[in-house]
Amino acid sequence: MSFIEGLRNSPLFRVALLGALIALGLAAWSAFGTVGAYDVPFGMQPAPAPQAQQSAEANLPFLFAVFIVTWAAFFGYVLYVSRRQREMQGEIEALRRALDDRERSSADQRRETNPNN
Amino acid sequence: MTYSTQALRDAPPRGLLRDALLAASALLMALTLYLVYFWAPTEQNLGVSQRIFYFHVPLGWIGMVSIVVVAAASILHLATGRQKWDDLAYSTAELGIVYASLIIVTGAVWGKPVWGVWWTWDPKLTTTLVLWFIYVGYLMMRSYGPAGAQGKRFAAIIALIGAIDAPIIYKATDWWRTAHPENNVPGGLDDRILITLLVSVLTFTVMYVYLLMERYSLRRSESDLDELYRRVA
Repeated sequence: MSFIEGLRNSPLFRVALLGALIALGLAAWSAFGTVGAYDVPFGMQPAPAPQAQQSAEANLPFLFAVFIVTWAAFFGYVLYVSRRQREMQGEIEALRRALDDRERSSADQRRETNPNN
Repeated sequence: MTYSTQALRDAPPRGLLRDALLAASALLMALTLYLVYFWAPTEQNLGVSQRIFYFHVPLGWIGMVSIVVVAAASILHLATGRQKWDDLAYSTAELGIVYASLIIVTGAVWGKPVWGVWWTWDPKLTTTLVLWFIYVGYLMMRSYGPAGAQGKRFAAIIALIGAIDAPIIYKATDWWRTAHPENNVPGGLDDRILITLLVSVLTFTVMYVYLLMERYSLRRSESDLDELYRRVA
């Protein structure tokens, strides 16, 4: 398996990528929202910042971005761990069946080689 | 029935301690959110963005603690050769990269309204980015490095080198001129801000311990399963 392929198949990488995309989206949304508020036609003096932008709540989107990114990362990680647990449960079941089959076939062989027992 | 099949049938029951930690972290998180959004006062200069502090600082604290735990577990693995220490180091490193990523992302989102930029090559930010690369290096060594004991030993050495970064991050504000506040240990804070910060640190620490126990348990099972596969093959 090549390095890139391995990275692409890694669940942790997918979760990290999803987190990064969410962060980027939120950051872009916050940034464009602020830039848009100051947009003026070419050649004109920029309009003064609206009062609301200067108030204490002006940076609320950044706070929510942090909140959402933090929780998305934790939920993503918990999902990854629980999925891995499910996969492992499946592997344990398969291994259990393989071991049972092997024990059964070795018992049959013993019976065939020594039919008196 | 062989030992292997018996071991598969006797899966350990889910621990009471883990359930208690999960319940405690849920309750503490509800309390923390109340304190952060409704109880703590809004800081006059930074405005509402200062509340990011209650997420960013605990994440930073745990990100630094994680690499020290990885290094300590790696030393024990190198000294004793026991698999459980390697499992602890791996689990902590995997969780550490989640926290280190969150430190960088939350820091960037806080930096934009306060400093006007998403990123600057401030010593604290740069050393934290180095920590992130150390975690990535450790996990890449585990995934793509030599298999078996050799890969584990190489990764342990990366963790030991990485642990040197933790005190550098902590002392960065003392050693270099940086945009971060000089006081690592909060002093002169409003009582409500300080209490909210301490509750938040406690909450994130409890949640970290819970996640680490879950991941460690999973990692132990993965190691046992690998061992069983080896025996069956």
